[in-house]
Amino acid sequence: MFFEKYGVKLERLTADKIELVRNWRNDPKISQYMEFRDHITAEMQKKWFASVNNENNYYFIINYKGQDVGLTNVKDVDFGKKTGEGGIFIYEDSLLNSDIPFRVIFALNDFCFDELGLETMVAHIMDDNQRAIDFNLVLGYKKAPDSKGPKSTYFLNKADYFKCREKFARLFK
Amino acid sequence: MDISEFVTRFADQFMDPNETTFAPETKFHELSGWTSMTALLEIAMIEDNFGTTIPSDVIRGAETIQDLFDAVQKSKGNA
Repeated sequence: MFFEKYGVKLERLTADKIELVRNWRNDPKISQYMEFRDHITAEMQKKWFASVNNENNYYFIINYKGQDVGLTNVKDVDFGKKTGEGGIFIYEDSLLNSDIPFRVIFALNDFCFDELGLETMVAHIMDDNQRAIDFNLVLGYKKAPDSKGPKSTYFLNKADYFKCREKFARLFK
Repeated sequence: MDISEFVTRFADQFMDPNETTFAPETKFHELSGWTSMTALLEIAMIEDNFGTTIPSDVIRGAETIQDLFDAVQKSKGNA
């Protein structure tokens, strides 16, 4: 299954690509930003995939111009509350400081709001990760008033996202 | 718009425009304030001011602000 929009293709993670993801995830350039930073073994990766390969978690390989460049996801989808938590990492260095991460998140958010029917996206961001905070604020996320560090909670509701999409999506040609 | 005004508007997209002295020869990919968000805001700035949407490859391929300005002019057919 895949979802293609804004020039990027999100391909649902399959068992044959979990080793690729494990290699990316174990690279310090990625793991330094993760809460879990220990080395991930092949066995751990298989167990993890078995636990998330379901209708409440959607992990996608990001494919840009035919190349697998990173991973994005919506996890812990609650169809009752219509919420889910988004995430992304770009492994390909040359795409990091470009508009590609935004294209990916716009595609993911469209999938979440338009396809899954969610109403709110959630993000938990370390307070010292200013880039991630800025990134999410531009997308329309708002910090939860009662959120306390070192990891704060942010919410993006559908209306705020659609306003943001109207402003920026026109640029993704 | 001339290059001087373009540099000013380019700098305005940065969270901290005072991190450096912006000039046509500034290698913007090397600035600490250059992020995916800045890239998006620059694309929006160019669209707003020049009426042209530049592909992300153009931004990635430009080394300096002057390079980007030239690429924008070229895409408008003004070069």
